[in-house]
Amino acid sequence: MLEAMGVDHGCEVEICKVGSPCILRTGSTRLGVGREVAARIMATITVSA
Amino acid sequence: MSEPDQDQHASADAAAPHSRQVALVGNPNTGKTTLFNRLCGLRAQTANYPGSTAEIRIGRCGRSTPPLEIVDLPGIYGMDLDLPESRMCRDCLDGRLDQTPDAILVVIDATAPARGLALAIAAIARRLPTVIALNFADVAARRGISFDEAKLAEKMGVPVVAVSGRTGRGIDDLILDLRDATPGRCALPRPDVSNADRKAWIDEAIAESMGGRDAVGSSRDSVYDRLDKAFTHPIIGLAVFVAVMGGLFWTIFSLAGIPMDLIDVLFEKFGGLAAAVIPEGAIRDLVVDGIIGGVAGTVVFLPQILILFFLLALLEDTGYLARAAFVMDRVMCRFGLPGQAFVPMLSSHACALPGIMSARLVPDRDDRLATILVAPFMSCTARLPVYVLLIGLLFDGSPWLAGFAFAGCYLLGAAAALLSALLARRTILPGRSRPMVLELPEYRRPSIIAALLVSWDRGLVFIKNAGTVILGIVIVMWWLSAYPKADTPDAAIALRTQAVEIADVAPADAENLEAQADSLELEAQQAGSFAGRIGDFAQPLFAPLGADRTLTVGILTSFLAREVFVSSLAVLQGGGDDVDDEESVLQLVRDARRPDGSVLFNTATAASMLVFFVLAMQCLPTLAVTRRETGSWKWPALQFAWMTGLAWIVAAVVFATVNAMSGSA
Repeated sequence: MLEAMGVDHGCEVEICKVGSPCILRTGSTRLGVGREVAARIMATITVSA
Repeated sequence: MSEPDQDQHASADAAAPHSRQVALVGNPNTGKTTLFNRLCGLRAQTANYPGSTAEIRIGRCGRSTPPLEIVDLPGIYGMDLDLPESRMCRDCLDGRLDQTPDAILVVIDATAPARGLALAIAAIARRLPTVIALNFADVAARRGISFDEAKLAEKMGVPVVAVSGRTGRGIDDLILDLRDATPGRCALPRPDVSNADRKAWIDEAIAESMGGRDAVGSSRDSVYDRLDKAFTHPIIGLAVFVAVMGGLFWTIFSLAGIPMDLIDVLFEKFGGLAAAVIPEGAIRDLVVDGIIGGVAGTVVFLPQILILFFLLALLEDTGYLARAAFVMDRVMCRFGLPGQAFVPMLSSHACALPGIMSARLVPDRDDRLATILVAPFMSCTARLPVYVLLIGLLFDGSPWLAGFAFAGCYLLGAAAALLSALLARRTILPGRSRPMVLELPEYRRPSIIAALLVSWDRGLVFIKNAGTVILGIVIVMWWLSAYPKADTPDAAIALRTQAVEIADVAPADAENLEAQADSLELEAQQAGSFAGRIGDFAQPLFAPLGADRTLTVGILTSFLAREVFVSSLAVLQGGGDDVDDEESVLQLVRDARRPDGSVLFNTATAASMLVFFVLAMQCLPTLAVTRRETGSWKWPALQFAWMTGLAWIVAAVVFATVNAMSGSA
């Protein structure tokens, strides 16, 4: 489901808000994910705010 | 929105061999519904495919020859996902639900096309004639996004049309392309490419055919970030949510009251007209009391439903509801319910019927079932007259205590709902609520017309489906209470004779005697009717709650509709059936006596009745709508058994406890 929504392996995401919900932006899609789901998304920091 | 000229197209329709069925597919939040409404207008209906409980909207676009039959499928993120919405799309496109569609219309958000193009590739691979609609073309233009439709069409192998469902731009071209569409061949090198390769191909297609200002990092995003942070904040978000929902329900209560009263008056006049025209007898009783009375009892809910769905559609269109779902998810998930369940639960405070219907917002089947099962626990407006009566008896002269008791009733209902949901998710609907992953749509100005069409559609569904089942049940209940006909008691005849004798001398007293005679006659009819005999039979069942035969009949009739309880009691205690003065009803009921002379509504009985009415399932229309929304009588049967059983147990405990504490008989 996340993949279909644009959060797939190797994609760039911007974290707009941490916590619950965690709000991500990938491309022009904004996603809200619960803490449980966010904990399973492994990301590498490329640019710090 | 313009409607086609009926005369111009009538002859074309007559000559057309058959309509061309088009399946409307797309990601959520791509404006599919607005586009559907633009194509079909009011010529749409909600239908179930055989063997499916999910509803699909099917509309007719008469601006084409042959006319287009548009099937609005649920928004999906992927064609191959193991989700109910995706399965339904696959079944529809494969012809497993009905006929195989003649064409597919894929709706893509022109401001964010990547995901939609992935879905389009999956649709084209099914080898059906396909057309791509780049929706929100007006929004894209405002943001400086440009696109070369011809180049994208060449890449995708199918026609691509820039449209705006909101303004109507490009609709005529879209209709022509749908009429003439043929199976396309996407230029994607191999159908079994990896996700990474597919993504790269899509990015290349976008780069070649679309251009303009990149929306990421714009000032719009920083505004959205601030709004999202506020709307999903644990404290600010909750405050905003309470304010928005409070405003929504205040609006419903304020606006629905007048049309509901008008409907009551209209049906009263209609009933009076029927009574004047149809000769006295069984037919008149059936028409006036059964059919007209039964229909009125259903149609009176319509204003609440129309206003609620209109406002919800507006809220959803603004993009706020998705944010609010996360705010409520923090609380609801502890009880096995998803955040989206807050709308049906809150709506049920007004009326459980639209509340249960709005459970469609909940995407997961088990989550939706759990929500539907417990939503009627929320104290609805129909319970208010009963609360007012019983709390008035319990706390006469103590407005503060009465106020706390009122709040307590609402809290008891909400607690029962949440705990019942928790129990259901651990037993009959095992599992956890679906983890929240929601696309947060852009904040948009809502479409009034789209909201009106949604409201209209929901209203029609309600009237058509709930009304037929409810009408049937109400007619049966009417017959049970009207037959067999009892002879007029001698005491009533004597009172009427006396009334005639003193009519000239003391008209007010004569009127009183007539009213008493009516009451005796009604009581005899109720006692002798099938419903009354059922009441006699059932009285031992309600004795542990403190009910005698009279109160049992009142409880049983209130299973038709809760508010009937108050007027039933008023009539049974000698008031007319049009008693609506709360004070006079309160006095009547306060003075009521059991056959042995003891007070009918002592503290224990009043308290147990109050708890019973908070928790019991006493609304046939709700059961009918539950059946409709779940596709089976199993769930409304379970709902009735659980709620009424729980109500009985808790009420019996309350009666025994208060009885023991007060020492009342």
